[in-house]
Amino acid sequence: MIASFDKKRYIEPSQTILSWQALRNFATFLCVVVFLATAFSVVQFDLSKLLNGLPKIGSWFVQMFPPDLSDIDRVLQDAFQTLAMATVGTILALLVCIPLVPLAARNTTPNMILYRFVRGIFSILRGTEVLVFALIFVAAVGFGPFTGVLAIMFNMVGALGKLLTEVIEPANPGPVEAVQLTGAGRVKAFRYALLPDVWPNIIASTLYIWEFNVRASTVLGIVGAGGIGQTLKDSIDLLDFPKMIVVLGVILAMVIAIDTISSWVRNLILNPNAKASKTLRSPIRA
Amino acid sequence: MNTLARTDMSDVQSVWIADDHVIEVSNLRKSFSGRPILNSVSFSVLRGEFVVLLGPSGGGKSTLFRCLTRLAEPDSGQIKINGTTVSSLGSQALSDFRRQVGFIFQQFNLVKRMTAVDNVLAARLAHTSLLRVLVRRFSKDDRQLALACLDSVGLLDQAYQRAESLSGGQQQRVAIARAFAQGGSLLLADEPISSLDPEASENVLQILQDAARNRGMTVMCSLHQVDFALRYADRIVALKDGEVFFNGKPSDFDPSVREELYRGNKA
Repeated sequence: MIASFDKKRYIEPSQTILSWQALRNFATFLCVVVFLATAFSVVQFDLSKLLNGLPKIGSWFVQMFPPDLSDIDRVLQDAFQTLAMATVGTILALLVCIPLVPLAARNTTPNMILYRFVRGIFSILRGTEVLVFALIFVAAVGFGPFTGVLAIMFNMVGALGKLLTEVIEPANPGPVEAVQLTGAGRVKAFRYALLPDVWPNIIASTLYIWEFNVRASTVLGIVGAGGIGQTLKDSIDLLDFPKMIVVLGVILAMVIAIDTISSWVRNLILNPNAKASKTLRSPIRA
Repeated sequence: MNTLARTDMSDVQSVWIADDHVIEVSNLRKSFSGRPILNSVSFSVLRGEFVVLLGPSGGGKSTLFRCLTRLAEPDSGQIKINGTTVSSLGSQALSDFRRQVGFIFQQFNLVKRMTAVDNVLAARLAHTSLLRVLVRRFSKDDRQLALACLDSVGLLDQAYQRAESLSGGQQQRVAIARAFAQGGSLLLADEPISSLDPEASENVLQILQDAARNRGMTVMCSLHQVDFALRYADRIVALKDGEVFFNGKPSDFDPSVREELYRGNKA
């Protein structure tokens, strides 16, 4: 049973029914609803169109069988070209990022003007889609896989750069301060006390970007920037469905394989002794 | 001479007062955003002494340490270390000066993914060319010195283990070995045992005491545990409300002083 208490001691703050807080919440809700309604009407959302189109897709799907494996070696070659484009593009982006990222991380930048400048460049490169870069470079350099590499590299300097600054910034400043107090300069201190703690994350971020690029670069061929996208577009244009399914299957297999390998390696790097630590961190640590 | 300084300080002090003050702090003032943290602090530390700094949290211990290494700039007053006025140093001279002072932190501040011996080698960065630092190749002399320093804190067997795999006490000993490897004669330790268990604490304090007794080093160490201070210190300096509240031998630090020091702790 609850003991009796003096109710006069506990006066709650008065609650009005129509508070500013409630009005503001309602206004926010209204704005979101209006925005979503406009969005649906702008995209001309029409379920009947989708339903009418379904039989067409269905018939194509039936026509895909049996798959036409006669050109499989060329498809595999193109798939490998896509993989190579993504890999080279990622490596080049990393090489460009290495000198830039320390300038764009709050804890390592020599001055804030440079910090904002490099961050601005990263934002612009990140904000321009890889397909847009591909269109620009196709016009400038011409068709082919090298164009795709350039497009990936430019876009990814922005994405990887941002990712790497986010890896460096939360690093523990203690070891750097300690090493600087031994009389070592800033560059030496960063190299010695910061890099060893963050490099697994740098490798993991690069692998993540690589994996993303393998997916993204499968479409680059559509605008003529090399790789398996070109083959896919050809088969769609010719309505060559038995070949299309082979191309799609190869793309899917490659992307899934790369995803799996990449996340496995990342896990290996980030938790090197996940198994060992369970046995090592026993009560002996006292 | 070191033994003399401890056993018979009052008589001999005046004779070599000029050259055997390792730290001389006079009228040091420091405030943060208008709030005084250090209020006219004066004291000195003799060569080979193990001085323990006591005082309640917020009493100014950490700020004092930061002023000693110029991580914080004093408002006024003078700090002399080994006869050099710390506040007058330019950036290159400051870097040279810091090489001479070993610093021990509460959180060890080791590079976790590097081995113990690599962490000790950090002390030799200032003496190593940038190219060698970039590829992490130290001279053989430096590598052997690092191993010797680890040996002196009893961690030779753990030299090639990663810092993160060591216990807290072991990590702090690696940090002490790093300070030894700098080759300076002054050791500043800011609450080195605050995150250690009692046994590891004893171990660390014994090593610091031994550094003063047998390595000819001067050690200044802040602690929260009065009992450890009484057992290990040659002298106790206590700060309260930004002022020197007590400065003397542990035997003079009686329970009434202790109670007064920690009473009415505002922080």
